[in-house]
Amino acid sequence: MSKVGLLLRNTVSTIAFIFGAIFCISLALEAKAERLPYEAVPGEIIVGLKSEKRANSSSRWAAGGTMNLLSLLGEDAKVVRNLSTIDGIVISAPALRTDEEIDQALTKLNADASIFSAERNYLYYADQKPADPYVSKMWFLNTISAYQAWRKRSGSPGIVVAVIDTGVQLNHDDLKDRIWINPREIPNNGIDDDRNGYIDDVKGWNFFGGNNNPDAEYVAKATRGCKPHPTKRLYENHGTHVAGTIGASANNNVGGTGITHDVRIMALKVLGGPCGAGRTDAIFEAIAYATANGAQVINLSLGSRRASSLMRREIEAAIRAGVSVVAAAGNSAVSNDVTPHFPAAYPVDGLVSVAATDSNDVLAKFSNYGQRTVDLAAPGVNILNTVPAGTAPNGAKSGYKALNGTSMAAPIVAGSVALMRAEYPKLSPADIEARLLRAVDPVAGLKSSVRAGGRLNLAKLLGESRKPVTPPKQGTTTKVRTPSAPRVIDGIRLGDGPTERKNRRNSAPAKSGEISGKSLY
Amino acid sequence: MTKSLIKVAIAALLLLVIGSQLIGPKPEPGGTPREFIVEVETGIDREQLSQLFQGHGQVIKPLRSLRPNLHVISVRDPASDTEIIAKLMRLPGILTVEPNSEVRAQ
Repeated sequence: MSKVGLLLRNTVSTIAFIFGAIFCISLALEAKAERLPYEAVPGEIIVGLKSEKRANSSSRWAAGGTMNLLSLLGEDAKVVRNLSTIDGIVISAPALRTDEEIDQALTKLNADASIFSAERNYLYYADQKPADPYVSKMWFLNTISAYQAWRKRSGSPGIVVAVIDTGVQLNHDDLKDRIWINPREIPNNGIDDDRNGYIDDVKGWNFFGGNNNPDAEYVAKATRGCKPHPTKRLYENHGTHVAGTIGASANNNVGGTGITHDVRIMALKVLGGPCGAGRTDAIFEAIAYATANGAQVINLSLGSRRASSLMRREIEAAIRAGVSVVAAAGNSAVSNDVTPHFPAAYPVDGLVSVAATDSNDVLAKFSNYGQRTVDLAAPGVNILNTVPAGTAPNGAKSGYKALNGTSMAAPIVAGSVALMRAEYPKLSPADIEARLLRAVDPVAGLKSSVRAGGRLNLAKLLGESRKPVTPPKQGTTTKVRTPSAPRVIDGIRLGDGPTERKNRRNSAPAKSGEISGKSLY
Repeated sequence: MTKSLIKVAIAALLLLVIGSQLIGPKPEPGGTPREFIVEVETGIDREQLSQLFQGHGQVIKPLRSLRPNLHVISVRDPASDTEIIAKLMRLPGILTVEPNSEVRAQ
């Protein structure tokens, strides 16, 4: 063979080897990504007898019953442990390798009249509960099975979530390490270094004020009809709360936690003033900015009754570019099927609209709904998370407050989507929406209220690429309260007090991020 | 007679005061300025736009570099939004006109 031929053959072999290796690695990574959160001991099955058979069970097992059972499970099957308290046995059956083989064997065993239950020997883990002091007050984490979900994935490093809202307190103790920094912009040099049309947009942009500071501002408090209070002022808290719900730092021994423990928050301010209002043009500019600057998820805890074809087009463009968009269904207690609330009601695949539920899985009294136009429900009542506190001369301090609204439900879903984007990077926004619809806990009262007929379950969402598995019941710390029970968790009253009720009466008729709870600083 | 006249005058005055309160402040001539988002054909610059909208409205800002063919204009016209949109859509080079609606935090 000539030198050229030999060289060609070696080159082809090398390329084939490299491609083969890449293929094997990608398969391995794919398999890792598909791992279930609740794995079982390979090849092990627990078999328990029915109670009425227990009296003579020992004679049954002794009389060759065990041998009959083992014969169903392949050649190498053997009893590895006796479970005397439940009159059962643990069988190892190495011949059963695939899910289908195990399922077939379990079906046969469960058809036996003397067997109470035959099931996989599932592995149990300690719940992944962050060590932050207010986590126990965040009832919704338990409701959406976040602790179980976090065994599989608790962070979404590299994922950027755009919070298009009233601005975010950039120096909040629980958010300062999560704020997105534009890597292509040099701070304060007065030059648009990355040529994206925005000068010195290092930590996002303020589309409301037309400047590079997307921080929460100190504004006049709202009076009736959203008129500014003549003397009272406070920090805008809506966007900071939304940002914290998505991704407040976890395990830093400060405050609470976000749904994802590691994410970048792109702060884009489009709303402002006493009631957090803004203009359509600012919002779709912000959507375009988020898409062009690397956000993978956009949270829109805002809305209007007026449709905008231009905003819809901007959302469609974002989704086409691979960005998931999550929107609040609205707080008018009406059906979006009949009286649509935008942007949540735009019929766009990949746009997820979210209604709000309370701690009893009941649709919140203020929440919009819609069997055709609202995708799913998520907790949106007494949601505790980050807010700016204090007064302007001293600067904003790090506070925490429980708020109500579909605005609070949407970021719970947006944070969940961020975890999904990290776990399954190849999924499109429409795929993620479809999985969200499948991964709910069905709730009878929501069947006619939202498309999915249920409320978000994060554990199912992260593990539902295979057959759904019932999560193990353990380690729950938050009690589900009855409607009449006082809203007190761990000594902190989260429900409406007289002051809060007065504040609510004086606040926006649009019920923007209603304050329902005690502030914690 | 005089008493009756005084009563009628007071009643009329009261009606006038209550009526003016209900109607609210007098509208500015030509109506309150309203904002619209306008999508124009590519290639129309801001100067051409200003000429185009002369007598209809005032161009207040382009939507920055990400969407160079979108502009916000302010219109002072007592007509309804629908009528203004119809009027603007008749101008050459105009593709879309929408009210720049208020959006609120939820």
